Amino acid sequence: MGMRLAMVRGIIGVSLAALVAAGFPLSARAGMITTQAAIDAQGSPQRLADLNRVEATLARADVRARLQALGVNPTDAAARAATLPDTDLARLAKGLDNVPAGGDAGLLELVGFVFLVLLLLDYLDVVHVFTHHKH
Amino acid sequence: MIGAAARNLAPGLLLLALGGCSTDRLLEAAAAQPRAEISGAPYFSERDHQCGPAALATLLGAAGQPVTPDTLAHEVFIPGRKGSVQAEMLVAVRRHSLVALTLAPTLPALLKEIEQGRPVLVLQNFGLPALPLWHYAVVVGYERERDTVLLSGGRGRQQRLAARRFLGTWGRAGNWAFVALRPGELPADMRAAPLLDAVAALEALGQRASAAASYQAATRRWPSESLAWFALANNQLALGETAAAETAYREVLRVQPDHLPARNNLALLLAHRGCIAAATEALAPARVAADDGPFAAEIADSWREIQALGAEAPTCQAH
Repeated sequence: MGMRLAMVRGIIGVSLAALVAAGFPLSARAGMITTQAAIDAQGSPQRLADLNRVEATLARADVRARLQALGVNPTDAAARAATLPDTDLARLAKGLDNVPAGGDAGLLELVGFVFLVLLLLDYLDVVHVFTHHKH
Repeated sequence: MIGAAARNLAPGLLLLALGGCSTDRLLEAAAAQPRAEISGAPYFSERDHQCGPAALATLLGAAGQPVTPDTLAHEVFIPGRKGSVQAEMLVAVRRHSLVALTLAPTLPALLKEIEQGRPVLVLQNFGLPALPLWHYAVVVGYERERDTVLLSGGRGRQQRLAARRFLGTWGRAGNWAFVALRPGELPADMRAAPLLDAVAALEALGQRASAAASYQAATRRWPSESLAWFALANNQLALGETAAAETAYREVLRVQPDHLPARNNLALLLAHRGCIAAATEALAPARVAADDGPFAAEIADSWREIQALGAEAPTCQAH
């Protein structure tokens, strides 16, 4: 019994070694770091700053409440922001400068807030802008 | 006296007027040539709401991928929306084995591609920012003296648009523009990161061989850009070219010794060739450097896996 187990083990070991020597399709292996992952990690400092700004705004309770009332999931919004190209992300982050800082919104701040919501809806494809067309 | 003063003034006024004229010429500063015109771009007339597919077909045709707008309409045109979404257009380009590169949102970036003979697909907004009227067009040339850009499509085969009008409509669409590059073709745009990003997106659609040519070209243009070598190495590995991949990973580490993803992948490659000692040697510095930053988990996993493989195989040979 012990002999047989040892033999089976030996066979498995030899087969494994043969597989290793023959070479796995390495790219499919877990542990290999993909090009996209390296690109994402390399993200420019400006991009990271912009993304932080967008995420910080989306994390605010008043912003979350407003988005949810409009049927937009704030988590989806953050995920979508993370996939935006640098230039769009920069534009979005810049737009956030107009967002009111606190709860008591004056008229100007309200305008800024509406602007943010429109901007987000546009980016999220909720209200799509491609409904008109010009030849 | 007055006459003399006027005579002295006149040239000055004339100069002022001329000066005013030249600042009005919007293409002046950005255009390197008096005029540029791309002749090889096929023209397609637009049907209702089909400027997206028509513009795309022009771009693809000029890049050697003849395809009709009708075929493309299925890929990018959603009838309910009466228009094409920007991201879908980029994906459609990649599906035809070309690199879709979004340009820097500036006029010089656009004109440089034109000067190299590459048509540029642009988004324009003929409405207001709040009430947009979207249109896709392909810029195929410009005339510096007349201060106009040439667009493919429109009512005739080619449309001349005053630079002021073009910049207004393009600006209201966020200066969005992209080019389609053949595999291995490099843009006028000299920034490495956007190109590598664009090629990686092509590769992600399974177009490995096309991506390979572009990565090769990128390593030639930017030999000290570690990401270019890393992307090439991963690509070669996926294509089964293990020896070439190993060389490319080593090139990453030559230009950037602390490139953790390259250390990780090289170590795994070596380990699976049976070279446990070399794999350990490659990964050891990464283990320390990774700390608990990005890739720490992957590197820890790789380390365990390599140690578990155990003894050095007799098949291990140094390259």
